[in-house]
Amino acid sequence: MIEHLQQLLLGLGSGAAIAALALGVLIAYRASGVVNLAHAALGTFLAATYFSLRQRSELLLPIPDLSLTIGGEERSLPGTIQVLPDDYYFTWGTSLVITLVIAALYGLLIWVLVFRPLRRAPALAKVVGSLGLFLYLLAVTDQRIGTQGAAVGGREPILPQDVVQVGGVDLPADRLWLALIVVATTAVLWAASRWTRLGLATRAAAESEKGAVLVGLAPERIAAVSWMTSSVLAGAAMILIAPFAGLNPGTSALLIVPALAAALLGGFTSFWLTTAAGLGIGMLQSEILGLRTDWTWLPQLDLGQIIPFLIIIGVMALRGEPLPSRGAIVTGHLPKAGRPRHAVAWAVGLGALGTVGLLTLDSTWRQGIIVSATMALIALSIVVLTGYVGQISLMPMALAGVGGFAMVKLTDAGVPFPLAPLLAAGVALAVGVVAGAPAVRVRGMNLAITTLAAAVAIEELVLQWSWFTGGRGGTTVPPAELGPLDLDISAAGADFPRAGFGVLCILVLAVSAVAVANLRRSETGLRWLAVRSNERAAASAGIDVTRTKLSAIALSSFLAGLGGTLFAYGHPSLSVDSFGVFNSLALLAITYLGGIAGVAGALIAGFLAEGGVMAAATGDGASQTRFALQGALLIAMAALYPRGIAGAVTALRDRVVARLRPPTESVGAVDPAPADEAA
Amino acid sequence: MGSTRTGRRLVAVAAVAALAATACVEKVEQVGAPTDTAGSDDPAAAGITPDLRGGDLVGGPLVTERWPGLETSFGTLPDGPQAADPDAEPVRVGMINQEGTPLGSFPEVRLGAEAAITFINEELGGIDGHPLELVPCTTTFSPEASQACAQQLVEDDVVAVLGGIDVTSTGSIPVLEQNGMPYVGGIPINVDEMASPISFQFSGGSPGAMIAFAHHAAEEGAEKIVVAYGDFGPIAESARYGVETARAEGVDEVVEIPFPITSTDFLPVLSKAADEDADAILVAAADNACGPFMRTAHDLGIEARLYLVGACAAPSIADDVGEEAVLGRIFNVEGSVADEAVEGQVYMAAVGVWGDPELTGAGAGTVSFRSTMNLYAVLRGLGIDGLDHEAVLEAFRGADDVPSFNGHPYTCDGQQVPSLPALCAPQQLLVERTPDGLVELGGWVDVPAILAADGVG
Repeated sequence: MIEHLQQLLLGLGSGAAIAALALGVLIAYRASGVVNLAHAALGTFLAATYFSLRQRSELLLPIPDLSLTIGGEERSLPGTIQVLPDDYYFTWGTSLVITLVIAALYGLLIWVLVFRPLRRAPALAKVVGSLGLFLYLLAVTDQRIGTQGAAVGGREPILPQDVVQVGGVDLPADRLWLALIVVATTAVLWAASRWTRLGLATRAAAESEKGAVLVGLAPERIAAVSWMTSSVLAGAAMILIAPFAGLNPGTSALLIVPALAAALLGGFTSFWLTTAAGLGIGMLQSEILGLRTDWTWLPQLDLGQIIPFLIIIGVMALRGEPLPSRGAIVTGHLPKAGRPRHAVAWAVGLGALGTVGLLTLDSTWRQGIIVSATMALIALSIVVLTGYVGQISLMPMALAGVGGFAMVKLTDAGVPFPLAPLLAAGVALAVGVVAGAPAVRVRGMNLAITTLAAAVAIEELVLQWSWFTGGRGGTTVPPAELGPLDLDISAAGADFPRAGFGVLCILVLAVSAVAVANLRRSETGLRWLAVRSNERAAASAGIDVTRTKLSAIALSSFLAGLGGTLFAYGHPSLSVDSFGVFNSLALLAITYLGGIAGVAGALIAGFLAEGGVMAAATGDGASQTRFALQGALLIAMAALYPRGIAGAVTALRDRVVARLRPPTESVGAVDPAPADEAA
Repeated sequence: MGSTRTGRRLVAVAAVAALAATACVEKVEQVGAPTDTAGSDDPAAAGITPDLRGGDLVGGPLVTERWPGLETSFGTLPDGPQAADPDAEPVRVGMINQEGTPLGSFPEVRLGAEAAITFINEELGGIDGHPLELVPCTTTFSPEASQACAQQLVEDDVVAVLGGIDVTSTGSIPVLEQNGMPYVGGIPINVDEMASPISFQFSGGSPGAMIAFAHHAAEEGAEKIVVAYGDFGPIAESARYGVETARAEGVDEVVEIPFPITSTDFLPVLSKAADEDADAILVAAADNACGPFMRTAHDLGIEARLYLVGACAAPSIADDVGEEAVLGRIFNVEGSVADEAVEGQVYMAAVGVWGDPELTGAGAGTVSFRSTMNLYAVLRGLGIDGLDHEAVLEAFRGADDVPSFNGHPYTCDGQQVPSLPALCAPQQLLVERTPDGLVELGGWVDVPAILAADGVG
């Protein structure tokens, strides 16, 4: 027993790190209802700023590397500013103060530029904005410290390093100090929230923004202060963690995942519960490490990583309320989901265009068309669930993975094409319904977190199951065969990929798109939209909200699974790498860009997808700068144009049509509704 | 943003690519004046200093002017530069490398190959006067992108593909295999690269490192060994080689401590290792774990010998965690760190004249430079009229104890590591960090012989 307690104690450092980040997440959420996926990424950039000031007297600028041609001469934007002359360095205290002041400034900027414009946007837009910020910071941090690799953060740590004995365990003092600092910070935040005017106002705004305004509070000012506080906490946490955890643009930013779990266990309301949860998760992970060493029969799964997600799913399923109840001032609406028209004609036209391309263009273009068709099909699953029913799901790629690998197993077991992919999509449907069941009880941002957790759980429990996926070496995908038809993608030389497989992808996409468009126009589609618009109103109108949501989850999962089978056929060597949760986030982001509330948005998402038609047309220009700019574009689209590219095209078309109409018809008679009618 | 690949794969790239870079640290502190053929009194050679970077020697003496007539792994250096004919049809060589993603970008690998090719074209006369042309393809951390790269290089009909760092080579290798395209060198990460019949690697990868560690610890008389490893596919797999080798060599007890690669704190791992009171701790982890591991081991006063992959020997990491935390640690390298390693100096001089400023004496550029020079030696041997995929494949398959640029001679008989037949030179050098820098511990560790003797692999 003592040994287990000691092993738990060893997780104090990890736990404190998780708790420190979770507190910042919690503060931002209380202020503005945003789960800031970029919190740890921001902390990483701030910690890099601190170490840069301390070690090189350089101030890191949060802007991507850009070159401009001025007067015929190419000039680059500076990535750093040398603050002191050579051989002069800031003390650690000065570096820390400067960094934390900068952190507060960044917090304010993030609020003003990103989340204030999104304050009345639906949860989906906030997720997309937060994802955009994550991408931006990840790319910029990599540009600033990426080349320094693992050698950032260890020199001259702030906290003492000597070893102390606690409960019979040797603990480096910095872990103990960090835990104490986190507990003290929690106490200060708790006290401030109870006994200071700002704290009380923040609590009031968090519970009911509407009520706060009514009693004369200024929620936006409160939010600004909270974002500054959150940002300072992010920076301070990462600076203190770095000496023992290291500082890496990618891995450090991922600390957001356990931090989210801790914040969630704290109900996104309680400082003490959040801190306790953070410490608990870290300590539990340490205990699991000890158990796995001693009990070698434990499953070779990353239990330490799975547990937070299982906790999230369990908590959300139990805590969620049947209907929404938060008193926001105005809840923004999702983009209009227009009534699709001429779906068959569009499908035939675009399908024919794609087929001609497959038969006439070179290998690069053929591959682009195949990738686009496949990704569009998976994006279609997002359109159904998120665009039409308003349920954010962050697991479409995980379900696609389930579909892909299930198809391989079924084919290996002798199930022929096309039965194997259809049954595999059915497997994805079943997994999707089980994993998505909490959606019946939770919604909005909480649903996003729940499905994020579900995606990771699927990844760990299903996709890491080597019998199912072939483990890290992946699995070999048997080609699709249908009588004399050659549907294999593989071919030697420039014959790769075979056009026949491409035609299959286009056909499946076309049929699926027409089916979704028809469903949208049917009574089922109207029920979806009613639930999306207002669950209470839908329920009062006699719509079975639970059944409606589950039907959409089922269809969405089936489409994702079907897309996954095409993905698998397109990758003779299939590995789980393609189906990670952040791939789902990326797909959600491009679907949002394309226009999440219509079939056309899914097609545009396919067009934009990595390796798709867009990439074939423009060539490969991947760079951190491009990622940073894409992150900024996502933020801008989330804030300024939630209808996406499809919406913009439709609006433009309607404007042109309105101008061409005779003046007598246009006066006060232009109904914006038809603008959304096109798919 | 479709190419935004993060999540577990993000962790994977940080972990795997860094781990796989076991061969990245070679010339950390060794570069002094040449001591043999060129003569130490050569004033030109004195310009080669440990902190030299690519391009620092532009305008100075060329490599062939410094060491005319020097016998190297790729042939005898000519007496002065011999440029290839820029108008002659180039010999195209492909390369697949991961760059430009927030999840890990390794431009230095490509830059190393570019420096080698410029050196070959400007000073060695190319292939019978025909210049080599590098056709790089950037993969963006996805099997789809790697597959597209492979397909593009097949279409470009390059004579061979140089390996870079490609975490998702599961997408590219099958395409190359199907088209019989040779895949040469780089930093192998996936089993595909280490096992494919068209792949030829001049490195032992991380399995080679762990075998050498276990063997050395056993030779030193360790009775109990802890193998701590990141619980992620390739890392766990390489750890298995270490465990099996230690057991086969009679180590009484081998304790495995898997830990999540996303670990925030390695204290529980090292405390567990300390509790075991082992004689040696073998660590298979990524470079982002190097500093924290060494520092925490130092803080806890762990006296067991700590073995870490070569990436952890980077001077910047030692600077970061402090000298006292790295002293006595043992690392693997795949090129000599001794001052008399003349090819190490040839590398430094070549990148000094022809290389990008990003290139240094350590790092992944050394690996791609070696791969390119070894491929060049094969292509030159075949002659401009004999260059096709099959000829290159046959040349490598027949390689038996062929000199490798600043590395151990390679033999591509598929038997060096029977379970990973593409590893042609898995031999390792172990170095210990001392107050005087990195010091070699004996000569090459003969990994194939160990495997054969121990029945491992």
